[in-house]
Amino acid sequence: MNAVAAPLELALAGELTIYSANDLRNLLVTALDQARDVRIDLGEVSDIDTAGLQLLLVARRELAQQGHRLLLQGHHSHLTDLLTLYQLLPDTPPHEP
Amino acid sequence: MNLDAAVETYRVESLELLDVMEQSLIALEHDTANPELINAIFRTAHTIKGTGGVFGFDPIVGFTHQVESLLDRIRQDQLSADSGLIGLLLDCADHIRNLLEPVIAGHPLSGALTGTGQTLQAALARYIEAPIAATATRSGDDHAAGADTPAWHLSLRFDPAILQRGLDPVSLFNYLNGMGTIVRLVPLLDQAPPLAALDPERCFLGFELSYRTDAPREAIESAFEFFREDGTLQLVAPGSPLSDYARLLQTLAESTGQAGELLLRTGTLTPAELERILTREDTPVAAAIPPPPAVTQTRAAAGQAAPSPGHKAADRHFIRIDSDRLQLLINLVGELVIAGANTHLLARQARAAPVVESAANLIRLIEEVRNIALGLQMVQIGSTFQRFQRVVHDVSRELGKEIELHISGGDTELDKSVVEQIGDPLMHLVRNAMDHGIEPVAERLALGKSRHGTVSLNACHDSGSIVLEVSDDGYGLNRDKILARAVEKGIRPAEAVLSNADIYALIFEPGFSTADQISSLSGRGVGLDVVKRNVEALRGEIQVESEPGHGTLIRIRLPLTLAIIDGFLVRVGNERYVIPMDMLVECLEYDGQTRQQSTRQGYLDVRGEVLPVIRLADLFSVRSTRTERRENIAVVRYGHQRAGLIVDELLGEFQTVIKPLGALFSRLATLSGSTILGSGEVALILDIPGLIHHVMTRELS
Repeated sequence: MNAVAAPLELALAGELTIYSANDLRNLLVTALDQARDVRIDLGEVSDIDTAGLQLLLVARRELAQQGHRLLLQGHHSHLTDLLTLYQLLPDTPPHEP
Repeated sequence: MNLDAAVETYRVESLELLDVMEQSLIALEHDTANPELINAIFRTAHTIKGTGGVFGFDPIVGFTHQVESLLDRIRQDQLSADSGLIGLLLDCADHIRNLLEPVIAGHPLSGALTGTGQTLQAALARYIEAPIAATATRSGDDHAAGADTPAWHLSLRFDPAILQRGLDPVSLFNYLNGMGTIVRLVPLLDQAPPLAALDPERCFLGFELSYRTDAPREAIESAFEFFREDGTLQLVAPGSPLSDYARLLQTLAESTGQAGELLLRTGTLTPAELERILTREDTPVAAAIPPPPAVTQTRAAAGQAAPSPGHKAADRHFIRIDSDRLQLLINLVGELVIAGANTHLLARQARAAPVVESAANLIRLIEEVRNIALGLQMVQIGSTFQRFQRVVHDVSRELGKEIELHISGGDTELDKSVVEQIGDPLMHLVRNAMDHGIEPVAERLALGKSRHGTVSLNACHDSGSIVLEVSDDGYGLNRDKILARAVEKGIRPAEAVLSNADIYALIFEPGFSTADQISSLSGRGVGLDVVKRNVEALRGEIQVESEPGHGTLIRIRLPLTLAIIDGFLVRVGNERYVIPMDMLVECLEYDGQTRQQSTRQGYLDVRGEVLPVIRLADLFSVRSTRTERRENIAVVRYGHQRAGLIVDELLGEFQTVIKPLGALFSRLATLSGSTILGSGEVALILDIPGLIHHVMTRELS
């Protein structure tokens, strides 16, 4: 386990929905190969649905199996409820961007 | 994505629900306290609102919510459903119906629609805000625990394909959050494959929720309504006995390893409760699964576990089919019938016995397929009839008459396209019966009749046709008045001698009306001839029976289907004609003796009955190729009338697809269409009602 490696930074944009789910899946598969924490910036993400949330959840599960973390940050406030609902955010209210 | 299909389903289902609402409301008028009716109405509004919410159809949701609130008060006996209230609710149902199209299409609402909405909402609000007498405390008792109520537990599993169908569980959660609070949701990933193998367009997530709401169980279930075909819901009511949770744990354990921990994470159970279940479960409860009745009965009021998937499947026997696809199937089956007939014919011509046998087998199978395919198009007339309840309700009020609608034969099936086209003519006849047929109350009482006039709708099958009857127990037709009016309007010359049936039939002539007063409803003399035209366009026929002082019966006779007929093929000279099989009674020899008799008299004596005959060769100016061989007579029947058709040769039964004749030939009363024979030749289909009419008028003249 390489705990000191800096997290891999990803910045996503647009919709994380079923329409773009294939691309996101492929991106995440590549990211997970790096064997380090993944930090995703959602600042440019306008919308997200269950397909997108599912990918993030599965990615987090796989990172956890490797002993790494998935960190989400920078999301717009209108996505907060949904990310919280799907338990993708820590229980403490996220920092408003 | 199939969001369009989902929305279309919503539209169709909403329209059906509105029909149910309307019928229940009208039934409620006679049975004001029937809780089943009230619940049925509440459910329809609730489902329309709930699924509308899933799609974000806010105008529908907002308005229906108001309606639902009012219904809820009726349900809780805080309001009684008097006729004023029922009238308002009927108007609301109309408004929801009117909202559907523009809202679904995403169009802005028209000013008129918005105005109606506001007026109705104001009227609803007056009822909703009316002071409650003694019942205020009751609802308090029901939810004594208030916000501290322990939460429901919802266990949701979805069909992986839902996302592709355009449904997203998120919309369900949003809706649930509108009706209460999702305390905690735990997404389950155990069904999800590793990321690299994951099809990202499918949903592998399961959800465990604890959910706090004041809404009743059925409200939660109906929120799930739209996902019902695409998933399962298990619901455990707050405060259910631990044995219910034990059962939930048991089912969860089958799919996930850490069922107990899950219920802790959702906050459904406290560690102490879990402990108690687990320690008890090992012995009695676990052994008792599937649960014996004793477990389900423990808390019937709080509700048993959600209906099992099997139960859901049982009350969901129907699938919806796009009518275009159905039409395509029926067209293809029609072509198949022709192709099959061709094969059979060729096989017979080739005198190849095994092929003939094989072709015969094929034709039998095609016939079965054809019957099934046509059966798919058949719908019961009942729902069309039911719609008239509303019309009768509204119109009788408008006219100040007391009229009841009596419906029979609603399960009679007929072709969907016929049903669609017969609605307007029926509507006209029903309105006409109410307006001109039924007497005002005072007059009825003076005549010694019951206060309530009755309009009856009846449907039945009769010798290959479907018969629809609209009758009333009112004045009956006035023979002399009709005749006088017909003469006055120049429809018939004064000296004409007419039978009663002929005179009654005059009411369907263009420009005819005997109503002394023109009402806004039916009588401007522009109505009944349209009815006649519509019915004739469906190859149907209208008869009138009437008894003065006792009422009138109008009978519409229609063919069962418009697409394919079983025919009987005959030959005259080089031409072939098809007689619809269900109108053929028998075939007779036409030998020398009978031939002379009929030539002399113009009719035949068939077992003591008079049978008018017509020679098709003469009628169609075809050169008959008859030799000294005998000719044949095909005896046909329509209604009560029979006639004999003299033909050269009887060729036998023949299934055929009707190809309509062009508009150019629409005035040919004796032909109804054409068809293509297996050999590629064209045969004309005889219009037997038209032919019989032709024979009868010839007889008279």
